[in-house]
Order: sequence, then C-alpha cells, then structure tokens
Amino acid sequence: MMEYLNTPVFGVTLTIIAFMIATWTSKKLRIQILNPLLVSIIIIIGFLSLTGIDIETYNKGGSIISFFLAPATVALAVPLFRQWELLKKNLVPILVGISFGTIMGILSILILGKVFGLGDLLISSLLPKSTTTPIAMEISNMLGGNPSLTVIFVFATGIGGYIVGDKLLRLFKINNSIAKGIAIGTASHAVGTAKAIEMGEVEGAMSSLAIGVAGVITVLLVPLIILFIN
Amino acid sequence: MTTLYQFGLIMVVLMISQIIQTELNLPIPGTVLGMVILLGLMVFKIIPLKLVEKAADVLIRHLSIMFVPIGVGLMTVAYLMEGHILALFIVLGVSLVVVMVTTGLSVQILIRYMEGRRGDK
Repeated sequence: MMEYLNTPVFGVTLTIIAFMIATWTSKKLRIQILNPLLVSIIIIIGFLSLTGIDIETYNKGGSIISFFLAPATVALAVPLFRQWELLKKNLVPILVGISFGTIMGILSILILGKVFGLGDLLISSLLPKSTTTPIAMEISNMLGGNPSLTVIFVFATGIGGYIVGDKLLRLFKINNSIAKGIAIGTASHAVGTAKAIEMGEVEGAMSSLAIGVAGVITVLLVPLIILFIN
Repeated sequence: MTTLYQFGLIMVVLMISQIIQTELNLPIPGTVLGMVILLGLMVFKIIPLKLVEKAADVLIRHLSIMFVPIGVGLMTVAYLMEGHILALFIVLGVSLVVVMVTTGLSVQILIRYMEGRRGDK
C-alpha cells in the first residue's frame, strides 16, 4: 500500500477531495468560521492522524499544490492594477493611512508579544498577520517565523475583521466610505474584504485595493522596524 | 494569448524577480517583488492587462486550496502554541483593533483635511 501513497498523486488527490468536501460543507452550513480552507486542513490532518501516514508522504503532492502560491502572488498585481485609478485619486490618504496602521500593528505585536513572553518564533509568525496569506507566508519565512503558524494567524485575523469590522468602525465614528474600506482591507485582508463588499461598492473596492498595498507596505516596513529596534 | 501562455508570462516575471532578489540580496520576498514588477509593467503600459488577466484570475480564484498543504503543516508545529493560546488570542485581537482603528481614523482625517483645503481655495 505504502508504495502507492509515496507518490505526488496521493497528496494532490487528498487535497482536492478534502477541499471539495470542505467547500460543500461550508456552503451547506453557512457558518463563517467553517470556511473551506480551515475545514480542509482539519479533514487532512484528521485523515493523516487516523491512518498514520506521515506528513512527508502527504507533502510530496501537497508541495505541488502550494507551489502555485508563488505565481499567484505575482498575479495579485492584476486586481491591484484594476483599482489603480481609485488609488491614484486618493494616493496620499491611502498610503499614509495604511503605513501608519501597519506600523501600529507591527508595534502592537512586538510589545504585546514581549509582555506575554511569546518568544521570537511566535512573534515572527504573528507580525505579518494582517496581510494576505501568500505575502504573509513570505514575510514569516524571511523573519524566521513558521509559515504554517502564520497561515492560522492570518486566517484568525481575517475572521475577526469580518465579524467585528462593521461595529468597530461605527464605535470609532469612522464613517467615510474610503476610510472604512481601507481600514478593513489593511487590518483583515481578503476575508475582511468580504464584509467590506457587503457594506458597499466603494468600501469593497477600497478594501480590495488595500490588500495589495498593505502587503507591499508591510514587506517594506517590517525589516526596517526590526532593524530600528535591534 | 491562451491562458497557458499567460501563465508562462507570469512565470517569467516571477523568475526574473527571484533572480533580481537573490543577486541584489534584497530584503523583500521574490514573489512580492514580482507582483510589484508586474504592476509596474502594466502601469507603464509595457504589458497590457489582457496579456495576463486570464491566467491571473484563474490563479487567484484558486488561492484558498494552495494554502491547504501549508496549513496541514500545522500538525508538526501546533505544539509551539501550547500554553500560549490565550495570549495569542489577546495579541491577535488587540492588534486587529489597533490596525483597523488607526488606519481608518488616519485615512478619514486626511481625506477631510485635504477636502477642507480644497474647499478654502
């Protein structure tokens, strides 16, 4: 049996089947936390644990699927380009706002991480949590964090933003549509953007724009801030 | 251009970016550099949108499944979070609020300030 599993076919097939089941369950249940990504991960981890198949065997196929993250990250230029005119029109407020929010986010993690004694690996894995997953993984790798942990932190942040975004913005009297969209996209990437799209057209477009811009700004700022602190 | 050739073009941009990143030892990931380069090529009209958009849309539409194997890797590192779960929740929650509120407020204040200045003239 093992010789059949020890090929990329196994990991690729398991991933696609798990994702299919997960997508179907999410659609049926409509509970936000049960999104296809999380459910697939649980299914596969469960399957591997039950059968005792080790993760290296799974990764022969798994790595083929995640390979496409690299070109997909480059492809993020396309949605960003589609929002280019919108960005140009409000360039200064958007760039300054995202940079400021990103700096505060990085500082809040560095400070709280130290307070709770989280250690360098967890802190490095937490730092990029507001950016979109492919970019977050790369930043995590670069800082010596663990991309698997980062995926979970990014996911939790997205869900958090989706759930509290609307109320939080109202509480702080942030009612300008551009500001609302940028805030959601910067803090909680694509998952939060789903909420921004529900809020309105301008909010949705601004939020999707903020995903890419915040990603690039975080990539540029994280090493600078770390350098500054050390 | 077919979706395959478009994908090839994205791969070429990725490859060049990774070479640039390695050769210049840049502190930014090659993939993100690739995104910036592709955006630049489109903004300066060197590559038109329609030369890459079909492949890009396919890749982005299937982004979620690409994270699955990375997430499964949690199996081997989940123990690192042991004893820190509550702290992680607090850090993630506080930081989410901080980023959203500071970003939103600064964008809103700047937009109002710039509109006010425009109104004065």
